[in-house]
Amino acid sequence: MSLPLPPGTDRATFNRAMADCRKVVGDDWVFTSEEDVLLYRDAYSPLWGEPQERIPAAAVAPSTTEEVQGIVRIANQYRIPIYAISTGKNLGYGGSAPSMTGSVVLDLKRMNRILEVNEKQAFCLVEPGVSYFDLYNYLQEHNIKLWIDCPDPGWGSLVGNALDRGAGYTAAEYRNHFDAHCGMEVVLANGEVLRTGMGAMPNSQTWQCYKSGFGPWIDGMFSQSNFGVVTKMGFWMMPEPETNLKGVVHFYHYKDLIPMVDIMTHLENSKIFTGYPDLLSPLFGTPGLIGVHDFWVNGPQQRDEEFQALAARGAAPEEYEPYAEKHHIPFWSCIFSFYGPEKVVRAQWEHVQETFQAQVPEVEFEEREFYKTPLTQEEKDNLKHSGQLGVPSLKTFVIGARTPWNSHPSHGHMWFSPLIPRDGRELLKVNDILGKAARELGLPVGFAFNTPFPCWERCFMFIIGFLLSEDPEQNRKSREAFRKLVKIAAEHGWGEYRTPVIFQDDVMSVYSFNDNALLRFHETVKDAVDPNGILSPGHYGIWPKHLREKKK
Amino acid sequence: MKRRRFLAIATAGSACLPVLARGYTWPATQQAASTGIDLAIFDDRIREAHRFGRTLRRAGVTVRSFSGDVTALWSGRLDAGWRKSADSVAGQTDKDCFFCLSQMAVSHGVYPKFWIEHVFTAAGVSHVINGPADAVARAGRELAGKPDWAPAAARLLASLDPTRSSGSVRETVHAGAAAPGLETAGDRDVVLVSWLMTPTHQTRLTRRAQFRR
Repeated sequence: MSLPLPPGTDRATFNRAMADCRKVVGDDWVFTSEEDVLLYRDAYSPLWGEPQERIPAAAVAPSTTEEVQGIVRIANQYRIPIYAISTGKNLGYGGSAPSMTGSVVLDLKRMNRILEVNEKQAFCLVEPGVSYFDLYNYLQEHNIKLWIDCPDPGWGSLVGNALDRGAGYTAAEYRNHFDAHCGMEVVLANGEVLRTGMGAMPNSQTWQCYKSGFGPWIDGMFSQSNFGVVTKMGFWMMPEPETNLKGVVHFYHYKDLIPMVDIMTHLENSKIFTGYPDLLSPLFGTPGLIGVHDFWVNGPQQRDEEFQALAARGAAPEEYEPYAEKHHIPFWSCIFSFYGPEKVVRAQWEHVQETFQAQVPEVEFEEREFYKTPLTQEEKDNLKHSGQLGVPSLKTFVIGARTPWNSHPSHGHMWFSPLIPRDGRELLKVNDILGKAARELGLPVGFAFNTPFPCWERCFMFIIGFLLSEDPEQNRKSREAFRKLVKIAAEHGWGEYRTPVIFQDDVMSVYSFNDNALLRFHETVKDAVDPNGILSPGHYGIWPKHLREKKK
Repeated sequence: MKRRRFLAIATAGSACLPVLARGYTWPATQQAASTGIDLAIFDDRIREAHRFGRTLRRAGVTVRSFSGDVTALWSGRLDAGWRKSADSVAGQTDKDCFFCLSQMAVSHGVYPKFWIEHVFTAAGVSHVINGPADAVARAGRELAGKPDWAPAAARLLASLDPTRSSGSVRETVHAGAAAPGLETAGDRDVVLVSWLMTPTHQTRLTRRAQFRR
């Protein structure tokens, strides 16, 4: 595979630009050989091996903000597009490959300094190359009683994940990684350095303590965008709780889902529980967080003939109710997670039980797990979902792997992940509509009912996974199906929170209120702050002027 | 060649005499190898992988095992090791572990240079070999029709010199029916991968001690 050149750039100009980059970062940190550059391909690319696969022209790895400034200036001088990555582990949503073939990857992995961890104020300040593992190890080595909130898996960058608006699994105010940030440093397209929030004040004492600073709060403009290169970012961190308790509420009727979601959401917004509310359906075998690893390893549970007959005739979810009653299998369960002193979490759990007992008939309760911190190594090794206890892991790579029950491993996956309201009726509706659509599009639907991810307090993330193949034809069908789902979801008011690079234009196109006013505003900002369009062209559907005109 | 490496390969040769007697031919290029394996790992859930590990241990390679989840191995050994030096690491694992480790290796300027997917089918075991053309051709010759392929794969990896060739081709050879005891306990459908990850050309030049992750 030969490497592409940036669009509109000839070989001699490109070579001069790379030579200038070497003067900034040193010869060792400009990568132009195929052997090095192809490492930046997206290992989960839905276009793997096809002509449209996004391939970079080169990569440059600066180690300081000043070097990033130098590279940005060179990119401007030669009109070379650069695509910034933190650790490039964004698998399932694009990996380290650029939005546009021929871009030069600006690899920030060498910027891996943990600049500050303040235990008393519970915050940290890090560079983009710091991974969740790095920060976790730092906390352990220095016996700092703070927790990280990490996604699956823990190898990614705090900065990168937050800028892509990823989510985690501990207490609500830390699970939204972008919301948990406080202050950033950004290299703008003209090479200038900007600090946001209180960081705009020289010698500020509160950069990581107060988010919005003075005047317009612009941090959001640097997430899911291409308006600057973030080189430092602060995060609020969770003080290590004394204990973690998990209590399960079991529900035995199909329609219980509606009050269950309402009560759960009210309790969460009232801060009665602060951990991730883990929804599952024992009846349908839809695992929650703490069962998902075992599910992928061991496969779906064996079902009796009666259940199989229901599944075979495509019975609607509510038609399983007599079966559930007869076998006393919960239709739904919700695992509530509490953090704090034992006395407090037991009182919270008691209140949760009393609330459900008063409002939903026939519920049952079960205490599932109880941990005191610090966890022993043995406890950490045996956690069903370590992210809920602030421990990063790589267990998620069991997804799609070949296991004793799955003889057809996938070659990666991508997520279709629209947001829906936190409402039980809406959840039933989305399952009906998207479930039906997925079946019609020939997608493998794993469950009769998909439970959503309640990462954030006021909406659900509803995920349909696409397993990728080595067969381009199969991947083409998956891409088509994905695009159809984007449209079907949009017709019902459900939009993706994040999406793989190749679908970003599609998703942006459904955020079309008032003749695409939002996208037009993005483009106006892009043209103003990056007139040469050198920063990550096409990222999140934002194209610079000269490429927009070409696209037309 | 480093003295330690030379001694290791020599030791491996003597340890493998019974195999040689059954017709195994030590790769002709072994004596010229200028790089070798700094660390080998295997998944101890898989019976064949134990044979792989034993073979390399006898060859003087430091060998570590793990059980399915690579988190502890990564954070406790590989990440720290690759931060210090761009070592070559070999392994026999299942496919998802291989993928996961290869993604992390790439971040250190180390990448999968050569790997063999051992696929269990009804007809026996097939080897899908990926890597530089000369190494693939040699592996094809060494593994075709060989029932005792796990130690053979280990010896093959120990003898490769990935610095000498580049590019990547893919070839499938059949080992025939699996010999008794070759099936993995309870994991008959698991595809094993024998692999070698080595620094890229540039990593070797710079050692990339700074390229921490």
